[in-house]
Amino acid sequence: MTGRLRALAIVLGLAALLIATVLADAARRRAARDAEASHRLLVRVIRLPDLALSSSSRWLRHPSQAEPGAALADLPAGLDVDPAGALIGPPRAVLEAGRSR
Amino acid sequence: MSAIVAAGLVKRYADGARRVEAVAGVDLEIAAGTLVVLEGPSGSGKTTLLGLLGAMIAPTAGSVAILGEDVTHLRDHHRAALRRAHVGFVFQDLSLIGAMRVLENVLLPLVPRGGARPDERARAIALLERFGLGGERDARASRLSGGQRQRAAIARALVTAPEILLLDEPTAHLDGANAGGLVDALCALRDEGTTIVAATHDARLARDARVDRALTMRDGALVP
Amino acid sequence: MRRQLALLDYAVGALGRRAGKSAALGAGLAFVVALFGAALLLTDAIRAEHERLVEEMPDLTVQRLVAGRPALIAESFADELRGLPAVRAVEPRVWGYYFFAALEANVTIVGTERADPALDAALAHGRLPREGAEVAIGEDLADHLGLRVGDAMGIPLDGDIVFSPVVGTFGGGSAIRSADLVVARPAHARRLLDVEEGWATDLAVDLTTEDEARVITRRITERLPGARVLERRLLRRTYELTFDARGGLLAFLLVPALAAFLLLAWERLSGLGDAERREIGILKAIGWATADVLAARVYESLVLSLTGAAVGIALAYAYVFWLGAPGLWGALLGWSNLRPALDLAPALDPLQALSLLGAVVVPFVAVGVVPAWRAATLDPDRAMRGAE
Ligand SMILES: Nc1ncnc2c1ncn2[C@@H]1O[C@H](COP(=O)(O)OP(=O)(O)OP(=O)(O)O)[C@@H](O)[C@H]1O
Ligand SMILES: [Mg+2]
Repeated sequence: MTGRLRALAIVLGLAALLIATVLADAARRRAARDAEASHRLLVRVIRLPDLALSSSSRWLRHPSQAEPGAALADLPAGLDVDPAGALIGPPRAVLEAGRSR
Repeated sequence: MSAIVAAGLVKRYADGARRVEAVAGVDLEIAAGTLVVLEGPSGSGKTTLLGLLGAMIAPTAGSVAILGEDVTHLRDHHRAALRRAHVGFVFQDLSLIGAMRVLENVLLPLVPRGGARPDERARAIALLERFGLGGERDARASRLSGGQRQRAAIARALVTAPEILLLDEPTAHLDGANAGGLVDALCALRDEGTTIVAATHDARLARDARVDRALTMRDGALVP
Repeated sequence: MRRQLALLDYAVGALGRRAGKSAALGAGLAFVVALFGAALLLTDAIRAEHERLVEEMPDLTVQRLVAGRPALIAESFADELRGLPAVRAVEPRVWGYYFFAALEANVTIVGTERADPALDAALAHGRLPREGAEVAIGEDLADHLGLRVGDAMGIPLDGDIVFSPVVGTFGGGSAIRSADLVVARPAHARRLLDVEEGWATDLAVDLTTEDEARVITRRITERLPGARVLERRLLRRTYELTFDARGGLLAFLLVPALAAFLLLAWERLSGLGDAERREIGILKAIGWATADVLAARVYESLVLSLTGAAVGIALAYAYVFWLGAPGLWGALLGWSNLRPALDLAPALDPLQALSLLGAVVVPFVAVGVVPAWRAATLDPDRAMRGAE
């Protein structure tokens, strides 16, 4: 094996180690989160599914519960003025559930 | 037996509207183990003919056989394999990779075969020493003088131990004394059994007494 | 194998000879992968977090729409639903948004009967409200208002201020869901949200088996025209679609990165430098087959893109999960005043890491091969003369 190939093996080995570290950390964090009871208990108390990512708009705070047309009264599927509105699209499945009835 | 047989060779280049007949009907037979010099003025088609003889360029018409094998209609990778096995080529511009070390350059043709085995490596080093480059083998090719590069290019052409060696302007970068030394080296190779064709516009080389055969080229054709 | 190793060795040498260019290309790739990867890791983690506890949700959530907006639903309707087969439990819920002018933010008020001490473990401090005006609130909200367990929270109502003793705070691991919560007894929640006795925000329906969800949904809408029924299946899908369909701002943030990537790709695609083209011509001339040249080139791209992508993924991961995605997380939270810290479990698993690597490496290698292939299929002498 030439010196170059050895260097390559070291570089690729380091890259693999990097990915392995990341994956191990990810698995550890997932396990830690699953093991943590308070979160699940909280959800049992409130039984609301959405994450508290945006408290700036009703439509964004509980997107899965949002009423059709709540995003903006005049343009239901329009982008909100809130930057998060550009990220969180109107939940279509939920919209459809409302429309078919 | 003939090392190379060419019949009715034509190579035409279409360069925009201009059409150039670089080689215009060459019939040629080169006997194995001879040193042949191909002389002619600049632009007469020497490089093109050499490329055709070495299966480097596909002819427009005519045929070429190398060591008895017709290469005219071979596909690219077969031609490459054949060149790799039997033909060493020294280019007019030498074609060394400047950023690589001299020895690496010399070993380059062996890479697709799986790299140099220890005996091949030893052979490459011996070749460099034979051409007076023993001390330069770890220098970058771009650092060499013109004459050193010339010799390194020849060493590279010989590293696969080819039966046929084709050289384009081998003395272009050499002074008189060095050119004489080069002819000595070529004669020694010839005596070991290598078939050699050297293209040049250097009349001294063509007139050297040790040359087996001198051909003259004008406007793409051989002058009788 | 020996041949491949020799070609690989050559490829590494070639990378080394163009060290500056290789480093720039690898670093550029790592940077772009890190940017895209960060967005991907973050949205994936959000989706996974939503997914993780969705099974705790009611099988059906029944709302009533008036003029397309949710309106209060009569509690009596719950009794009607209890009569349906496969319905295990129906709970009228009182919850809603309360705009807190002092914060310029909406908080979520949730009324609940649940006060089982076993559930107190849901809180970081204190307990769930058991009586009267007691509330348990999210830690972020408490911090904003400067409240602690034992303090009283002043809530403006009808020109008056209602004082609610804070008996507990949610926090720690659940901040991502509890940051803006105010959990109160149902009666108190009714008062704050102005929901009269006999009415509810929505009905949470639990079924004996989720398979019946569709049938029950149909029965419910027959009985209550204007009802909107959210199946758990739909909740599950909400977040699959969210962050997918329109990555508006994220995409906008990533435009420069995309441009950089295209530039890289273009560099690979068109930019065989004269030196590289000459090198390929030389290799062809000294007896390398086109396949050999391409293999070397593939190895070159492979080594470069594998390392670049691996570094990029690691950078993205470190940025999102170790540093908390400064910038990106803020953009996601928008104008919110209550901003829970990024505390999500990564969804990254080996398969995903592999496909991410593949998504970078495969096109990169392909794009690098094209010009080499063009140069390598020329007649060797033409490639050497530099003729196109
Ligand atoms: N790829 C090409 N495309 C177009 N024309 C070409 C090409 N290669 C060679 N020619 C033309 O063919 C003719 C012969 O060229 P060639 O290189 O064989 O000459 P030469 O005898 O080797 O000249 P010199 O002594 O200067 O090296 C020239 O007119 C040249 O312009
Ligand atoms: Mg020439």
